[in-house]
Amino acid sequence: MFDFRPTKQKNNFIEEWQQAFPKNKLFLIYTPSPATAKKIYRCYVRLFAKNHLLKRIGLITQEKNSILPYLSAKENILISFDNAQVKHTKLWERFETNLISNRDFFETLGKDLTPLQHFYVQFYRQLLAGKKVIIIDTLLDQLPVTVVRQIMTEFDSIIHDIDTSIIILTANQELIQANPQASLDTPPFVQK
Amino acid sequence: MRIVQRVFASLLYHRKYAGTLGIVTALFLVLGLSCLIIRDFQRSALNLFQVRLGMIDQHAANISKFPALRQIILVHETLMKNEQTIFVVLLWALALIILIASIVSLIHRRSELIAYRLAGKNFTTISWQFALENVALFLLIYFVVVTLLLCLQAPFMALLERINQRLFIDSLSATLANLKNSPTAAGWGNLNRIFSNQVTPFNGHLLLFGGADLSSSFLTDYSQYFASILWRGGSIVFTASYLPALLYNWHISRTIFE
Repeated sequence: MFDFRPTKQKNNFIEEWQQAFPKNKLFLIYTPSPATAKKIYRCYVRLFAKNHLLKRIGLITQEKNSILPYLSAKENILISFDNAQVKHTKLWERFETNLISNRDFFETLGKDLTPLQHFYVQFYRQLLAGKKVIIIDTLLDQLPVTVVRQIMTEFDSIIHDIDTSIIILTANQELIQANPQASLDTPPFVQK
Repeated sequence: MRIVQRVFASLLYHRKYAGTLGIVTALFLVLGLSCLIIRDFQRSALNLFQVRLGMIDQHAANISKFPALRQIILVHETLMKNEQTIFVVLLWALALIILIASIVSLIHRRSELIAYRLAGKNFTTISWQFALENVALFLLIYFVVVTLLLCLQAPFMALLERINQRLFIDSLSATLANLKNSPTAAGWGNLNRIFSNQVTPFNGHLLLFGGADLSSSFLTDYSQYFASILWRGGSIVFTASYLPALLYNWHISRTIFE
C-alpha cells in the first residue's frame, strides 16, 4: 500500500535505463555463450531488484518454465488478472482478433502447447501485466527458424502500440545481421 | 472466481497427491467421528449410572460399601479419557501428515510455483491458493464421508456400539467381568438389597452394566461432532498447508531473480 523507498533513486534509474533502452523499441544483444547470456540476464534483473522495480520487468526465460500445465492458454495468460480487468483493454482485443483465427489456442491446455504458443502465452501475459521492460533470454535460439521469424513479425507489428521495450538475448548471428538497427554491440549496464 | 477454477484444475492434475490426501482425510474423519461418538456413549453411560446411583443412594453411602460401583465409574472415565487422547493423537497425526505431504508436494511443484511467481503473483497469494487446494479437498471429502455415513448410519452405529461394548468389557477388571457374566450369582445379593423397595425389576446388574448398552442409534444426534471435526480438521489442514507454502514460496521468491 505504502512505499517508503526513495523515489528519487528509482526515477534516476528509470531515466538512465530509458536512455539506454527507449520505449517502443526492440533490442537484440548478441551473447555468444550461455554463460554470457546468463550474466547479462542476471545483471539486468539485479538492477531492477536493487532499485525495487521488479514489478516493471517481465522475464521470459527458458530456464524456468512459466506455463502451468493444467490451465488453458487463456487462463495462463490471465493468471494475474480478472476477466473484467482485461476484457475491454485494447491489448486484449488485439490478442483476440489476432488469435481468434486459431480459436483452439485459447482452450489448449498448458501441457499441450507448441513452443510458439508457449512463447506467446508468456509474452502476452507480460504485456497485459503492463511490464515496461521484457527480457527474453536465449529462448528464441531453441526455436525453429520459421517460428522465430513469426515471433519477430509479431514484435514488429506490436512494438509501436505498446509502452514497452523488448530485449532479446541471442546467440543467433543471422538474427543479429537481419536486424542491424536493433542490435547492440555492447550491452549497457553490464560490467566486463 | 478464477482462483476456484485454478484450485480444481490443480487438484485434477495432481490426482495422486489429491487421492492420497483424500484417503488420509477420509480415515481421519471416520476414526475421529468414531472416537467422539464412542466417548459420548461412555459419557451417557456414566451420567446414567450416576443419576441412577443418585436416585437410589442420595447420601452416596453405598459407593464406599461397594467398590464395584467406584470401579465402574473409573472404567467409564478411563474410556472417555482414552477416546479423548486418541482424538487428540488423530488431530496431531493429521497435522503431521498434511505438513509432510505439503512439503513433498511443494518441492515437487517447484516449477509451477515459479511459474506463478514469474507471472506476477504475490508469494502470499500463491501460498493461499495452495492452502485453499488442500482445504477444498478436505471439504469435498468431508461432505462425501458425512453423506456416506448418513446413508449407512444403521450399520455404522451398530459397529460403534459393538466396539464400545468390546472396549467396556475389555476394560473391566477380572472381578467385574465375572460379575457381568454371572448376573444371578450369590454375590449380587448385597447390592440387590438396595433395590428391594423398588417396584420395577431394576437390579444391581442393570445399574452396573446396563448403561453401556444404552446409546442413540441415530447419527444425527451427534451433529455437534460433525461441526467440531469440520472446523478443527479444516483449521489444521489450512495451517499445515499455508505455513510451509508461505516459507517455501518466500524462499523461491528470493532465489528466482538470482
